Amino acid sequence: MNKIPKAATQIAAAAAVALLAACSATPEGSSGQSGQAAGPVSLVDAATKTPIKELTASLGAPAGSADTKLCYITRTLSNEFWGFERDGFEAEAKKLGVKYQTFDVTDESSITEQLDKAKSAANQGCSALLASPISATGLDTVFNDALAKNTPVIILNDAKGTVPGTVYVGPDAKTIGQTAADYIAAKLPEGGKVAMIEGDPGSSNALNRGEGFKAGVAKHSNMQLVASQTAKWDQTKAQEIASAMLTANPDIKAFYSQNDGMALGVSAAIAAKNLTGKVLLVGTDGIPQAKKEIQAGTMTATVSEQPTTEGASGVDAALWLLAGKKVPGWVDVPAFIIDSANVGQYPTGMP
Amino acid sequence: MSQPTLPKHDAGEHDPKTVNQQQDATAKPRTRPTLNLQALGIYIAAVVIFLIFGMLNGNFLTAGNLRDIAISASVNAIIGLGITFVVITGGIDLAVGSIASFVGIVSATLMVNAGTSPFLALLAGIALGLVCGALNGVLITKLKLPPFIATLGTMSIYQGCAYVVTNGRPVYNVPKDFVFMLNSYIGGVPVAVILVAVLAALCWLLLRRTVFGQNVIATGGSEETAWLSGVRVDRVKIAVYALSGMLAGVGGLVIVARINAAQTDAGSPYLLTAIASAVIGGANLMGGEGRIAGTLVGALILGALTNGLVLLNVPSFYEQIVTGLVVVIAVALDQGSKGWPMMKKRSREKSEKKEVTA
Repeated sequence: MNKIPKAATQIAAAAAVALLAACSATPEGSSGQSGQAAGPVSLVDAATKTPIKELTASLGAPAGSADTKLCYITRTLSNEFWGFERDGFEAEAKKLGVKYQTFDVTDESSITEQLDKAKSAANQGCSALLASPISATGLDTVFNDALAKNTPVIILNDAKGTVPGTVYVGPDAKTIGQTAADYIAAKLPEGGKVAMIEGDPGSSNALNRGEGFKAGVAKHSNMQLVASQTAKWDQTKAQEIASAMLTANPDIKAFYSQNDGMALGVSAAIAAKNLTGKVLLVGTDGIPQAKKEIQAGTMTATVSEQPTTEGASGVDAALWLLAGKKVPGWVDVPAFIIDSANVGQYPTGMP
Repeated sequence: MSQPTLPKHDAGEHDPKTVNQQQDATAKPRTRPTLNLQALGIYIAAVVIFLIFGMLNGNFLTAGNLRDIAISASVNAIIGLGITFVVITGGIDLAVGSIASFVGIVSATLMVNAGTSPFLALLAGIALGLVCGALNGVLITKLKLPPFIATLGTMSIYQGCAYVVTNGRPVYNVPKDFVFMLNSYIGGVPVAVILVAVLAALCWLLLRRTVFGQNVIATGGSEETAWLSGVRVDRVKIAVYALSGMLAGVGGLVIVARINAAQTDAGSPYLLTAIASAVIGGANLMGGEGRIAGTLVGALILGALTNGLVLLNVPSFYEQIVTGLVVVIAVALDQGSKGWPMMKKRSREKSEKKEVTA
């Protein structure tokens, strides 16, 4: 019996292929998106990467008008990181007197939901589109449509896309890994064994942070990376893995965890072996709970990102583009080390 | 094909003609009128939802936005069609989301890493979905596993397989031809929407105009009766799960085309929403009932809710609450419009069953 539907779908597929000639990539047909002189694409210098502070110094404070509306398509707000990103976006938009709207999704697997919401946002009319795509290419169609209509597109954190004309605002994930390796090296002048807890292997953040950390460790000949495993961003899993690593290599001197959530699990594993303070633990992100652990001495440091600054910088970049100013393809919002020396300066939230 | 609790009847002893007549005689007058009434309710509800959103936000009823709603409903609709068949037989398929992810990642890997042509990769994906689904059916019929348990197990197995294929990594740079095949427009109409229309028409013909369709409905109405009437219940069930798996695979391929990439868990959000589409459309989880058009409308309602609530700037957490309420209200209205006949039917059947087995 199942031959009928199979054959039917094959016919349908064949028909779809036959109709390919009549297809177009956009509903309006194949109207080109090239040939715009003053559009945002020509204003974005893809090859350059400039830190946000230098950029603000050279371009001046952005100005907004009341008819400008900025749309930010974020990820799930059940992850507080994206909440801070949104806070930065909304606070800056409010400060500069422009209209704004945030669109969030259910969870980290809501890839097509995010695409649908981005389309809804674009249909509503946005002067500029800001987005934090879950999948690196997931929103490309929306970005292309927006750019074709001369709407600037700003990507906030993580999934640095490949669509020409988009501006990426965020840190360099490889530098984050390298910063962690250099920090550990400075704390361990005599060297020793180190281990890494990785995030989800499908995430570009995990890949790049891992690559950066490995490159950083390789620079210091007295340090060896003896273990590196994925805990898929999961705290409990990270605890189990770190515990097993300490059993296999009792002389591990330092752990690097690719995010703070997993670092909390590693911290528990270290405490269970009575090694708190004897084994260094460096996390990533700078979430409030990690800072509490740093203050309590159960974590050594975290490579903190600046989501609130990123959200605000995204607004600035969009307004600069709308004002016809040239903006680099990569607005660098660098990550920095928070440890016991400076943790007191960041009592609440994230910078 | 053995039903241990039943007395051994040879299906061949029955005269097939009288069986069919009996089925027609009992099925038509009992189900048709209530079906139409209830179907009308869903269409009215859909129109009301669209009008309310249209009044609250001027952008909602624009052609561009309606087209986006149709596209966003397409994957739910495709997977929901398969679920509808499964639900009609009284089963459930929890593996559809994983199959969609698995098929997407395998087809994308074939194209990107093995250089398979997009069309062959598409066929391979559809075939893989079919095999995965048929395996569900075999577990349910030959190992006598309850559908919930069997597909709960394979949901995890197929998801694990999806991770194994690429070690959890997404596959990017999907060939443009493939994206073009499933995510483009013909005269302004999205291919995905045309695909849904074609598949829905085929599914409707299969369900309402073939012996197979009759057997599916008979199996869901009462498995024992169907078996005694000569329906090869096991074969029907395997075919239905194979169909569900295949459509889930098609859904997975549409997802790949929409996001220009295969993500290892891209299909997982569609499990519950596809079941919800079928249920809103009037599919009865107790079996025997389900409508192709209803499932399409169910998918459209869910798509309209997501889209409309976004336009009204409702945060996604509240959106989930509203979506859940709509599912509950739709099914409650369904039951209410029939005066809770399901309960009566079930209790009556139970007493009948006791008589048979006793």
